[in-house]
Amino acid sequence: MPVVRYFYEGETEKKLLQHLKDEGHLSPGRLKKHNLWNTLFSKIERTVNKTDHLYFFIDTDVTSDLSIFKNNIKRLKPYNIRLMIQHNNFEDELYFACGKIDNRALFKDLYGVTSSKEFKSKFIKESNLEGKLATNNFDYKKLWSRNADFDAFLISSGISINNLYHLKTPLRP
Amino acid sequence: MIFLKLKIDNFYMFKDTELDFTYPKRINNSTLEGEFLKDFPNIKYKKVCIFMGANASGKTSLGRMLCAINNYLAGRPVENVPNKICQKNKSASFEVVYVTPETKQIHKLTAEFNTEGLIYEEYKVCKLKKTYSLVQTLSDIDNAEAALIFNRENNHNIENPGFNSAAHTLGYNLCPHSSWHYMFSEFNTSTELKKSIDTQLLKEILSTFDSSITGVTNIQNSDNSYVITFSNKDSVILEDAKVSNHERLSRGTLESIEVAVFIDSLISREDGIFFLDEKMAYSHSEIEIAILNLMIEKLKDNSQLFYTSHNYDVLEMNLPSHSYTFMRKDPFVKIAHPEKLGYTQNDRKLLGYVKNDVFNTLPDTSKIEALL
Repeated sequence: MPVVRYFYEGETEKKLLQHLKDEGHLSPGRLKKHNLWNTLFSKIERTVNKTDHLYFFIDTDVTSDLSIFKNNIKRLKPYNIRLMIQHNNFEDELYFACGKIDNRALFKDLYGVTSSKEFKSKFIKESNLEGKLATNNFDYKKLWSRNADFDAFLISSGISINNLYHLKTPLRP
Repeated sequence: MIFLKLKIDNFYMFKDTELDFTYPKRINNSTLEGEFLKDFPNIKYKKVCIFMGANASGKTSLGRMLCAINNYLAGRPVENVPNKICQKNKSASFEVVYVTPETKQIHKLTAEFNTEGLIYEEYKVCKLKKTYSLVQTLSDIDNAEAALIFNRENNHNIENPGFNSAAHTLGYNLCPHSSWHYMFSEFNTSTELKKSIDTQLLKEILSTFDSSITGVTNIQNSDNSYVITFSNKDSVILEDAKVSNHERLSRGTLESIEVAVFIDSLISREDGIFFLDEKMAYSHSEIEIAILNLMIEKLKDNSQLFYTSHNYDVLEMNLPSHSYTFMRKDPFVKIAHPEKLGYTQNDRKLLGYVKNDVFNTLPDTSKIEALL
């Protein structure tokens, strides 16, 4: 059984990934924090092996500084990886999976709040995530399913996408 | 300074034991950046040396020898030599080849002792040359004329050197600008022991070991006293890396305080020799890997980290095979450098070799099995 590593960028993703793992919707694996946009993969490379399965959950709304990201993608070439593209960011991904119109509707329906900051704070502290998501028609299969725009962006930025989806999705059918 | 080669004879359980801290060929996309002497890329030295072996295989003794050599080069006597000599009726010696980046020199020093003191010393020094390969550089120092030879016939008017370096006594600066930090279970020695420690670093490390630790704060008007607080509002005082109420902390957490002191030292220095001896033995394997990775990441140019461990998971780290050195005692200490035996890849393969006893490093458990 290969070692599976899920790299998340923020605590809200961690909360959701842990929940998906607990519910059996996500293959077993270790959760680790690492942001491909601002941290060199080489800093943690010594702790992973080429046989490991590496999944990176990445936001795509802040792509201004491409140099670190490009460097990381190059460095990751010999590894088994899959980018899990968050269409814009975590909140946008979640509103889509809950069938909401936009993230404002998500904030309001889940916690009656208006700002992303308040939403994140309450989401991280949520003690009944299963119930909260169930009452909002959450469908985990919709998560990380939209990557066409980002792929086009990567190609236009001179980044080959051939190796980025080498692994199949870790979401269980 | 950087160690390149070391020979030890008749100290502890070393008998004509040779260690090589250089490696022959640069590795593409190595996970160890800058594994060569800054400004002299041909001087490829092992920046990270992980010693693995069964209990009592010589790992700690090797650390003590390296520490003693560092002190000796700095002009201090080798302590307790009679106790460190294995066969008391014979002399004991070490031969060390090292570079000093600040002076751009390579040195070779041989020192031989009996239980009474220094009986022979030879010191050579050469300027490093950028155009020379590693082999040429090592050959250069081997073939150099000795700057000093001390023996009974030629004692340079040093009647009783004790266990001090004759070359140092005669004014040779054997190891200028050297910096080191050795941490063993029973003692901690450094060229510059810091009084204070980065509280953020201490907090992050302690709370990784014990998730109920919520804060570490410096006590006002004190450089080296801290309050460690827990989620239930308990607190303990940490002073000079010693905890007032130590049973409040697990053994692993207690040891992590010294590890934090060591890492703080490693981060705060420009370069140096760092030796951490089995301080992570009480840690969860995952934490040991994370801490070792942190140390490697923070290690600066022209530095060398020596680390001892029994943890198999350390072998699974994505490091060049030359970063590992295997040790066993049979009956004297034997050294296996995997890269010299043709094992040039790591990628988890080393673990398989070790588990299949390729390096003869597995302990003999037959006496325990006989008790079954």
